[in-house]
Amino acid sequence: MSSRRRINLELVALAAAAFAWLVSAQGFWESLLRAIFPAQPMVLMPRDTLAAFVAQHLALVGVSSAVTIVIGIPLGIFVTRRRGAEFRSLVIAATDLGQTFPPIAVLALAMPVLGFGFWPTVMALSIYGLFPVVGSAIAGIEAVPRAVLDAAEGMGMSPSQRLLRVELPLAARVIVSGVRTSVAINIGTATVGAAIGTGGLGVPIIGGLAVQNMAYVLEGAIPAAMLAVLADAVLGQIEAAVTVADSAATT
Amino acid sequence: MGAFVALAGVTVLPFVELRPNRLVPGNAYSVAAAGPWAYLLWLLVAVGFLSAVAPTARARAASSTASGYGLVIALAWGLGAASTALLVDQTAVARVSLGSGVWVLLAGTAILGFSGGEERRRKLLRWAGPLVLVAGAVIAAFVWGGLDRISLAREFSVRASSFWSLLGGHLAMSGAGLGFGLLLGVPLGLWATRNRHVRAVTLGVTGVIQTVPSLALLGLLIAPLAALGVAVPLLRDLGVRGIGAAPGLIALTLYALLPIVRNTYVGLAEVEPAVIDAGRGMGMSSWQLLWRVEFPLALPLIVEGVRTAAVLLIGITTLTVFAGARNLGILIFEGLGQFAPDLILLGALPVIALAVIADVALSALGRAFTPEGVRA
Repeated sequence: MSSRRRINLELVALAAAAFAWLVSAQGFWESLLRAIFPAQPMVLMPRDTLAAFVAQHLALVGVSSAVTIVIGIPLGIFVTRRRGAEFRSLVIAATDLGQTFPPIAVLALAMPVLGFGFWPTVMALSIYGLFPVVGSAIAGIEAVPRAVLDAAEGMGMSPSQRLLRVELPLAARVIVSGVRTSVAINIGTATVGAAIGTGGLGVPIIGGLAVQNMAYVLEGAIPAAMLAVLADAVLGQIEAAVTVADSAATT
Repeated sequence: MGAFVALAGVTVLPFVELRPNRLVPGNAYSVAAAGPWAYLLWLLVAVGFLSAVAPTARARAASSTASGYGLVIALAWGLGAASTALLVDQTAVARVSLGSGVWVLLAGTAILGFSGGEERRRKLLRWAGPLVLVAGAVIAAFVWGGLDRISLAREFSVRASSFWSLLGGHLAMSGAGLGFGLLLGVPLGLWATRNRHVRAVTLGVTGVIQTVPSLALLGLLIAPLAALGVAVPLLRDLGVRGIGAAPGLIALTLYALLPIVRNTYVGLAEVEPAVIDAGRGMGMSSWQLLWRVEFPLALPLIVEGVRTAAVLLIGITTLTVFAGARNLGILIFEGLGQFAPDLILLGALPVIALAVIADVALSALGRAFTPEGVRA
């Protein structure tokens, strides 16, 4: 569609490549942190390479965000259909209430119930990530103007055609913004996952604070901040790409 | 729906867990451990099912509300009875913890209570009566029903004195971050409405800060502050050190900025030009215009931003313990470190409660500040 903005692919790919190169350049971090903390005998956490910490972090966030999207968007669609209408107010109330729960508290609470380690954390992150995704899916679909739906019906579209060709394309921007919020929360909460033995970039941060080694703290904090900003930028590009211009919505 | 969830809670899932001490896992017991209270729980779930088949809307609402409130009371007394019964003949360090069934039952109860009171959710007074009744019955369960014997209550009584100071520390930390956020955020938001470049920079920068994981931001602040404290002894004496309240407070203030700046900006920018023209026509100075027209109209949105920030900060405050602050986060992370589930609960449940209370209270405040004429 010509009315859609193109993803700034080159820029996103360049930033991602730069990030990948930077976190795999163990020697670079070693010399950088040594320059900042000359008195510190150890500047990189020996437990894993930085690339491994990043990989663990990405695995946590990637799996939980995928689960969130696969469950959350269909759930949002379901409660806006006639068959799911009776659950609509319940689901909206649950997502509103759920989003007031601090993610760290939810992660901590999941531990006594689900256990320690990678998969329980993925499960906790997935559940918490659902709230913004489901909420935005409902909000996006319900923001489609009645007149547009009537027009689609008048054109002889079946309910499923209306959903796939009218409602979802028009709701896409809001849905992607919900995914963006959920991914940002997941990246942040996953750093805290280090306190429960899930690995990731929180390990050098929490470990460094525990042994008073600020070099470890920066080894985790700088890449974690870069990863979060990068992921947000990528999803921001996708959000812009799926935004249907007003002219396309009305013609 | 709620009744089905509650049914799953009282049948398939364990009700309580008896453990030899506070750290090791133990044996699960079903709801039958609650003795006669088990029958009442069953009965109330059955009443909940009535809400799906009752002939009139009033009967449906009444049965789901009654079963919702009733379940909470029966649960409190049932847990007390179960722990009293299970702890007979046990050593002093044995613990009775809540099973997953209790949480599922509570979720079902919340759904039942919600579907019963949906249309009058906002009428606080109608809620107050039943809530006081339920709270009274739960407190009574602590005093006479043996609820003080469950592990969570024992964990609390061990730490009762430090708990209140940690709760106070939590409120002080979140409150101070929010206060600084307001002091900085509202003027920034106002400035953003007057200057295009300021708007682009403040909204952009606060947006990026919001994206950075809170633990990473804390880490990024600690290292330079530690260096600054070492370099300038005067600053160190003033509390600028890597570890302590300073980095946590700065991080919290930065996180509070985005919602407050954005909502102040949007609130002021959305005041209709016609209203401002009318004020100007009445001979108001630009200061009067701001103070008596623009701010009152923007206030509900600003309060909404404060609400978002408050809920956010109450959660993030738990992380400042990694920088040496003392608040409820200590209980959570000590609990995670010791694998002590009930200690985690003792920290996490009050944090959740604080966030929900802040959310409800500030939503109400926002409604109260909405001028009569523009109320939806």
